[in-house]
Amino acid sequence: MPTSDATPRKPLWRKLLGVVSILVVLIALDVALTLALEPYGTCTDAIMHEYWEDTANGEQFDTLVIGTSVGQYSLNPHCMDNGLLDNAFCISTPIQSFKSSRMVLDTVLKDHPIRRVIVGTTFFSFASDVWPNSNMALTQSLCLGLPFPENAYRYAQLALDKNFVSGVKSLAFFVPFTLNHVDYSPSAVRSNIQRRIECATPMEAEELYDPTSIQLGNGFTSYAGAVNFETINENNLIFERLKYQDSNENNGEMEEFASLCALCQEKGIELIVFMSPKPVVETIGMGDLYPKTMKPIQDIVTSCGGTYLDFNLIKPDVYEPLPEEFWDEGHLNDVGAKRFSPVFAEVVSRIENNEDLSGLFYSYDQWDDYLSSIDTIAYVHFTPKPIEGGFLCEGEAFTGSNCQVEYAYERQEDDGSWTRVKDWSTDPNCTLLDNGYRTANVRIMARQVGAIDPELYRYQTVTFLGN
Amino acid sequence: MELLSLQFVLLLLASLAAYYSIGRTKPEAQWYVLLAASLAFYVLAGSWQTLLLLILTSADIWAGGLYLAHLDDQSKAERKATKDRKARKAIKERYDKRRWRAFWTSLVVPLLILGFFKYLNVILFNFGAAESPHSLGILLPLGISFYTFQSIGYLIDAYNAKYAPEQNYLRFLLFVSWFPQIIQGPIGRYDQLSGQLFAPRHADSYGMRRGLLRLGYGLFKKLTIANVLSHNVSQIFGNVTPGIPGSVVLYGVLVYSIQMYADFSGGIDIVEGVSELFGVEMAQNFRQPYFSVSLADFWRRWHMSLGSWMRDYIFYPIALTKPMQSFGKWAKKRLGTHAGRTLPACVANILVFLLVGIWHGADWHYVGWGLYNGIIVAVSDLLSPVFESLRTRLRVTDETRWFRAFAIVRTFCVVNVGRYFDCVSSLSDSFTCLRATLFNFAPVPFKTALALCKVDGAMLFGISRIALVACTVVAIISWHYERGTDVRERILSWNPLVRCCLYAVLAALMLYAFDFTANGGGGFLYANF
Repeated sequence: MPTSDATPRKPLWRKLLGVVSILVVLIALDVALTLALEPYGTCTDAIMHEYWEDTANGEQFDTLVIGTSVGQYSLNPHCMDNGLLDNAFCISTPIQSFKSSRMVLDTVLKDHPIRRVIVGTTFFSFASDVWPNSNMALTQSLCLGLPFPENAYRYAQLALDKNFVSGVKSLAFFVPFTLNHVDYSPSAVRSNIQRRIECATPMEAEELYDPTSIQLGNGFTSYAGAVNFETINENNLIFERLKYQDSNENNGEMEEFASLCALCQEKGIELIVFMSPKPVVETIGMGDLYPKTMKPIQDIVTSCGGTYLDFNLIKPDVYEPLPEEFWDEGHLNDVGAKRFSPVFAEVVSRIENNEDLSGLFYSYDQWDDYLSSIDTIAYVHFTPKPIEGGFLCEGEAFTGSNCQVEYAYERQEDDGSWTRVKDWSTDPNCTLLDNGYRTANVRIMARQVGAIDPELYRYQTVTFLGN
Repeated sequence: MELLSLQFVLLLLASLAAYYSIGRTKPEAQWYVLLAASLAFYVLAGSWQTLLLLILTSADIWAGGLYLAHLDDQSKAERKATKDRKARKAIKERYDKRRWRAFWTSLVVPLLILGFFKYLNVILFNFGAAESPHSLGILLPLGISFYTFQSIGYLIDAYNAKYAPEQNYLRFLLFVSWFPQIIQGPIGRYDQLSGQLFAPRHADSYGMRRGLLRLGYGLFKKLTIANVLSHNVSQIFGNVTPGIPGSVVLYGVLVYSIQMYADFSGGIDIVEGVSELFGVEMAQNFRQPYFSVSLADFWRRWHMSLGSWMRDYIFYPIALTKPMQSFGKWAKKRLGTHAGRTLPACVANILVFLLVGIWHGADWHYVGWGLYNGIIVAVSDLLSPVFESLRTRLRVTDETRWFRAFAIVRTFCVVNVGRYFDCVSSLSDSFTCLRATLFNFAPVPFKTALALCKVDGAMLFGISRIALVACTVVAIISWHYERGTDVRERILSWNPLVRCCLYAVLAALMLYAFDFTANGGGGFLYANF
C-alpha cells in the first residue's frame, strides 16, 4: 500500500480541531437538509405536537388510542353519545409497529393516569415490513417533547432495535430525512420550507400538507374522500393476503403485540383491541387463513384479560361498512368514521355493562356461518396470464358461500366505447387475443345468477406484447 | 445483518478500536480480534448453524493440509533412511498414493456440503424427484461458494507442497472466515493473506483514509447506480414474453451490464476498503473490465480472484494432464503447430467456463453462459493466426488508438451477448431474448416499447438522471485508473476544501438515491452465488 510521509505530522490539537470542524459542518448540513426535506405537517407531526402541547398545559387523559392508522381513521369521538372518548387522546399513526405502540404507551404513562388503552389494528399489522419507515418519524416526534437523557435513550433504543439496526434502512440513522421526505423537486422543497415559516404549528401545516385531513382534536383525525373500488391499486388490496402468507411465519410483531398486552395487564390498564372495519373483500379474500390467523391474536388479548373485537365479523344487521365509506383500500373516511364510531361506543358500553356480545359478532369458529351470511358480491377482478397471442384472463369474484356468480368481459375501443368480448357465463375466464403492441382497457363485470344488471365492475389495463 | 447497515458499521468501529488498542499493548494477539470480528459477523449476518458448516469445512481442510504435510515428511524421512534407489521409488509411490487418497478424502467434505446446499434440489428437480428447483426449502449458507473455493485452493496448494500448512487451527479459521471477504469474495490465497492477517499493525492514517475512500467509492457505485437500475432490469427480465421487443431486451442487457458491474465491483470496493482499514489488502478483483480488448482479457479483469483460482486449480491441472498432452501431440501432427499448442487449452477453457457457469448457480442458463464464454475464448484463441493475417492484410496494427477503441467496443458487445444467458431466469428466456433482438428488434418505437414493459420512458432512456451522472463519474475514475493514475492518492493530495466539495457532491447524490435502496433492499447480487 503506498504511503505518504512527505508531510510533517500535525499536532494533536490541530487534528482534533479539524475533526470537530468537519463534524460541525456535517451536523449543520444535516440540520439544513432535514429542515428542507423532512415533511413539515405530517399527521404524526401534528398528533405528537398536539400531545406535547396538551401535556405541557396540564391536560390529563385517561384513555389512549394507539395502533396503526386504521384506528385513527375509524374513530370520531364526537359521534359517541356515551362520551367514551371524551377524555381520550389518539396516538395512532401510519404503520405503527407494536414495538412503537409500546414505546408510545411507556411515554404517555409518565404524564397521564391512563386507565384504558384502545388498540386499533388490522391483520396487516402482523405481516407488514419488519421495519417500516414511519417508525423513524414516530420516534422523532415522540422524542421532541422528551428531556435530553430520555430523548437520547429513545434514539439508542431505536439504534439497538434488531429489525432496524441490521437492515439497510439503519444507514439513515443520522440522516432520517432520507426515509421520510418531500419530493426532491424545487417546488416541493419550497412548499415545505414555506410551511415551516408560515404555519405556527404542525397541525396548521397538516391542513396544507394533506387537504383531505379533518382534525377532530386530541389527536383524532378524519379524512374526506372516497376510493373507487373499480379502479383501485390491487397491490394494496388482494395481494396483502399473499404478502401475509409469505411473511406470516414470524416478523416478530406477534411477540411485540403480546408484550404490549402484557404491559397493560401489568399496569392494571383496561385493554380493548379492535380490528378496524376493512372492505369485506379483505376478510373473505384471505379465506380460511383469516380465522386461523386472527384466533391466536384474540387468544393473546383474552389471556391478558383484555377485550378483543373484530368488526370485520360483526353481524351485518348490526353494522356493515359500505364501499363509499372508505377513504382508500383499507381506511374508513369521515362518513365511515361517523357511522362506525357510535357502533364502537355502543359495543364498549355493553362490555362495561357486562352484556353478552356473542349475538353481535361471529366467532372465528363460525367462519362458515359468516361466509354464508354474505349475500352480495364484495369484489371482482381478473388476473391476465400470458398465452400465445394474448392473455387468458382468470376472473375471480369474492362473495359469500351461497352466491352463484356470472361474469362478462368487455374491452374498450379507441373511440371509448366498450365491446363485449365474452358474454355472461358462470365461467370466470376469458381469452383476449391481440397480436399488436398496445395497452388496452378491459373490464370484468359480475352479477349473481338470475340478476339482470351487473352488480360490480372492475377496470384493468392489459399490455399486449405481440406474439 | 446486512453489509450495508448500522450494525455492520458498529461492528466495524468496535473491531477497529479493539484491533488497534490491542496493537499498542500486545501486537501478537491482534489477529484474535480479527477472528472474533469475523465469527461475530458470520453469526450476525448468517446464523449459528451456518457458522458450524464453516467450522466443519475449515476444520476438515486444515486437518487435511496437516496430514498431507505429515505424509510428505514421513515419505522424505523413510526415503532418506533407505539407500536403495528402487526402494526409495517404491516408498515415494506408496506415499503418493496415500497422499492422493488423503487429498480426496479431505476434499470430498466441502464438496458434499456445497453440493447439498447449492445443487441437490436442482438435480432432483431435473430428475423429476422434486417439485421445483427450490421446493426442498434448502437455503444457501452465507458465502459458502467463496469459502469453499478458498479452502479448496489451500488444500491443493498444501497437496502440491507450495507452502508449509498452517499449524494453528484458529489462524486457519481466520484465513477462511476473514469477514470482509465472506459475502462476495474476493477468493483469497493463503500465502497472500496470512502474512497480512497475522502481522502486528499500528494505525496508519494515510492507509485508513485510502481505505475509507475506497469504501466510499464502492458505496457510491452501489447506491447511485446498482440499486437505482435494478428496478429497470427486473421490470424487463422479470416476465419475458415471446413478443418482447428486441430494442427493450438490448436496452435491458446494457442496463444489466452496468448494474452488475456497479453492484459487484461496488461491493468489492466496500469490502476491500473495510479490509484496508485493518491494513489488510485483499486480492484485486476488478481492473476496469469494460476497457478490455478481448473476452479473455475481460476475464482477466472481471472477478479476477475467481479467474486466477480457476486458472491455477482447474485450467492448468486439466491442460497438463497426460491425455491432454497426447491430444496436443495428436493435433500438432494432423492440424499443425498452432492447433497442437492451443487445442488442449481450448478444451480446458471450455471446461473451466462451464464450471464457472455452474459455480454461479445450478440453472441451465448458467450452463449456457459458461459454454458461450468458453467457446468464444477457445475459438478466438484457435483463430488468432487468421485474425493476425487479416490485420496484416488490412495494415492495421493493434497498438493504434483506433484499433484499441474498436477492440474495446467489440469486447463490450461480445460480453453483452453473454449477458443474455445471465440476466434471465431460464435458458428458454435467453433464447427468446436473443431471437427478439435479432428478428423482432423494433416492432414499436423505443419509447412505446419501454412503456409497454413498464419502464418509465419519461426519464432519459428510461434511466434515472442520478444513475447517468453517477455512471459518468465512475467512467471518468475508471479511465484515470486505466491510464495508470492512482486516483485515491491523487484525490488525497488535493486541497482539503476541494476534497470536501467532492465528498459533499458525492454524498448528496447518495442521499438523493437512498430511496431506491430503502425500498428495494441493500443486498448484493453476488451474495446469491
